[in-house]
Amino acid sequence: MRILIVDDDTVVAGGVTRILESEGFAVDTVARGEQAILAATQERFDLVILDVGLPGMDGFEVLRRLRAEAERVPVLLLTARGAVDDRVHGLDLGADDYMAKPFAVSELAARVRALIRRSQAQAGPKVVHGPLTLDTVARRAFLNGEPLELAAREWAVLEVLLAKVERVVSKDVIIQAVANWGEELSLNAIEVYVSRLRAKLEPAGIRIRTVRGFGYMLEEYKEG
Amino acid sequence: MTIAQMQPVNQAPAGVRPGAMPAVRLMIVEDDTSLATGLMRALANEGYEVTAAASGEEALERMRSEPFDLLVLDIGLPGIDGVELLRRLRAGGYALPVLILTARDAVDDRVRGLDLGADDYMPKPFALPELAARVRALGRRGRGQIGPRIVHGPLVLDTAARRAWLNGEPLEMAAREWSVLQVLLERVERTVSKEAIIEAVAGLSDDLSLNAIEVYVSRLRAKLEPAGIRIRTVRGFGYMLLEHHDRSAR
Repeated sequence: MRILIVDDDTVVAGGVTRILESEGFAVDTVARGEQAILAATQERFDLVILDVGLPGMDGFEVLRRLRAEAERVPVLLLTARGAVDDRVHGLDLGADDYMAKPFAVSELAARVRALIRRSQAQAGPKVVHGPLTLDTVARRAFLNGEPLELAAREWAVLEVLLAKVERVVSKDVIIQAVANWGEELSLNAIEVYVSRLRAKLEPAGIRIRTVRGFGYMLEEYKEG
Repeated sequence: MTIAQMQPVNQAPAGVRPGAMPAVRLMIVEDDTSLATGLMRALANEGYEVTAAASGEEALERMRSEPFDLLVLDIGLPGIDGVELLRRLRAGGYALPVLILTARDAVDDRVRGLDLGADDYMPKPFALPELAARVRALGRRGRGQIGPRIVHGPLVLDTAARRAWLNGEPLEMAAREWSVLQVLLERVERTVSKEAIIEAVAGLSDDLSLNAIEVYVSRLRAKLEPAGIRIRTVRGFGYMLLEHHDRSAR
């Protein structure tokens, strides 16, 4: 899952980035509203954390323009403006959540998880696919009730596939979802993660189909 | 009267026929009768179809027999508390958005509620306008909408679906007319310069003349004035959308 942070305060942006990376998210940061619009409309993010008090185009205007472009990415406004009127204004411009600074790091992380769940249409914090369960809060996986060890990148790739069961996902989309701008991830690397996932999941009857020259598809789980 | 006996309220926004936009069905689970009543009234005024349950057991029972779109949930309930109710709903595959409204305000409580599957968490005491805005945000997401719904007298704009209604009837607008109207609606009773309209309406690549704006405004007037919605010209400067006054109320 990939998150865009829009904040001109490098200390806040850096702190939030570290927290979210430690939770397993791929994170990119921009400091200006114009860059945020460009990034959010040209690339795929699963969430935008948007500061209101930006130089030039402010966060409210960024949000207004994103929604006017029918950009549906979830937006969490993070701002020093904590007045009720500001909150109402931000939410009614199309924000999905609003947190006033200063904030508790653990609450920010929990709200981020809640927003991503909602946008992925997950019913709850546990994602279940046949014998496989992903606890997205504890970041633990279970296969047939037994703990399953997954490296961070394997987890990230699996999450992308799980969000699109029975739909083909291109390798490019997977790369965009698991790597930030600073990381170069090759198509080959994705193949390696998928083959490791297969080795772990296929014995339990969970199949990831290769769609030649394009990408992968996690098949619907069928009993037996 | 207990809140369990209160009739569901179904009240669409003024000028909107229920058939045009089905109301969001919302359940409040709250054992404090006066708070529940106040919330019901406030949210019904926002156009929701509101039901209240005074206990977790009652909420579960109602949810088994009829569908709901959104839940406003107190934590401190008699019997099954809000946390347990939420846990059971998520375990049972109920995906509806849940907003927890509670006196338990510690960060740990918030994190726990959110991580059990709540979508939002508001501590009491709360500001009603903020609760209403958060409920709107959840309702949008739950229905696959992304943008807000704007109501101005008999006019309703669904900004995400890009659909508009006037007196409950679908209203056709060209894309640019829509954009101009949206700018004016965001600044009711304030003058908006033509330049500001151009800036908000045109993409970075477009060139729009002042004359073009005049054309869009005059088309909007032709559509909206029959319903009593007025856009005033502020000579040499721009336009102002006037507050809507319900003529039938005078």
